[in-house]
Amino acid sequence: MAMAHRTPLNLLRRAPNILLRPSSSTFQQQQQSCKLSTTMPALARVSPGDKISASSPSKGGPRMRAKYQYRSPRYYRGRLAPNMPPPSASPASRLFVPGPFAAERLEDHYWNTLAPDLQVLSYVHKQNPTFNLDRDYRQLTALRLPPKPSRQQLPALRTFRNIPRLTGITVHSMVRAAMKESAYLHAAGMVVQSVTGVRASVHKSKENISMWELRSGKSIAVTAQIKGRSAYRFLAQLIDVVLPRIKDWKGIAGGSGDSSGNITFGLSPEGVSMFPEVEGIVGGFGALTVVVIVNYDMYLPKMVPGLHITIHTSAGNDVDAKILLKSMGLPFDGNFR
Amino acid sequence: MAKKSKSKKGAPTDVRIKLIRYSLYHPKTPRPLRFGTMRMLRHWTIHRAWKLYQATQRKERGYELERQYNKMRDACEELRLTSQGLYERAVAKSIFRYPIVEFRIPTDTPAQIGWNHEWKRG
Repeated sequence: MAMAHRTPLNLLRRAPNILLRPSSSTFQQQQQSCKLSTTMPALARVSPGDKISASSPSKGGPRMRAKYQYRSPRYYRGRLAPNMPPPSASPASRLFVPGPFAAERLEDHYWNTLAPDLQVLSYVHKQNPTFNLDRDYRQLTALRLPPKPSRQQLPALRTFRNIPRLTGITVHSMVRAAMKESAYLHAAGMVVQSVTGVRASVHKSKENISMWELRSGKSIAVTAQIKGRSAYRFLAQLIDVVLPRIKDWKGIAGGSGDSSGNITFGLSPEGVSMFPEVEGIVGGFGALTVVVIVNYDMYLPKMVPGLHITIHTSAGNDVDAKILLKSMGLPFDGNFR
Repeated sequence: MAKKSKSKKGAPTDVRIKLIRYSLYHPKTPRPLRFGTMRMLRHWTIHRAWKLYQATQRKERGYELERQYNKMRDACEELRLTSQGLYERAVAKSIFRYPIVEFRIPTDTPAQIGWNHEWKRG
């Protein structure tokens, strides 16, 4: 296999002396140095049969798969492990997700409109304290007991730094039928995964509760946590597509929340089947709406689970979190408590 | 207890369940992507540019909010020094204040029938 055409002669002459062996004839010398040299002119035309594979350049000839193929470690084993996985942004990483392909409408809407609005509405003007030293000196320096701890929380002062925003969403589903048959849990995991786009993790029950026929150590629940852009995407989909189509739904209970800004509500199996990922494609042409159900056939209808959806916000209290979600377009039922 | 043999099991599993189990739990994951040097370099460049863009955008958003906040504070202070009565009326607020509740998320492709004029607040 002659490869002399690949490297011009003048380049060869300039190559380091290791490549040029004085003992052999000129022709062989050229051939050998060609095989050993790793520098190739960028635009030289090489037929695929003559290419030298990158992983085993000594072979030459047609491309062959190298015997040794590096595979990054499956898990991160700490900072001191000899073999580190590549960063998640690298395409060689197992965690690599191809980048965002579209802007998130809800995220843009939040930053363009909602955040300034919320800032204006939560503004409390604090004027600078003024002291009259002659008048206030005695009062300010008088001996006094330490202040009693009060249960009442101070209202959070809102500035441009702590405007409430969406932090993440947790989707949870406990499937009691999974005690008898694991298929229910698997179907629930598939639904949660397809709805959120995140791998669902399975949870085992901790307690024995005979009333619910619950035994500890059995897998009964799945959760998925979404963060960042996909959380905005999920919430926008919920607001625009899923919730408006649920019949007789009043809205999220006004008293919902865990008093630190995380709002939870539930979706029935009927509501869950309204997700486009579960239901399938809906095409509409004006008044005529063609419904093509594709994905729904993938599940047994009785195995579509209900979901608990917890929306995490950076607001410290429930009321601010609900104001944020209400301004985003989530309907609430009743007064905020 | 005797070990249950496979033949004694009841009804066969539904195909859909089998499919779900297969796709969730089979160990065959696709191998990681491998890029050539130039392609990896291109990917890395784009990635760095995107990160830079995001950082800039985050900062810009923060600065914009800060600017608005400072303007608001200055205006209130100016009003307080100008007229105490007007200031008190401007600052007085109820407890719950919402942004516009009927605001929909803006979209590039809005519905053909954009607004239902018959709709009334329930």
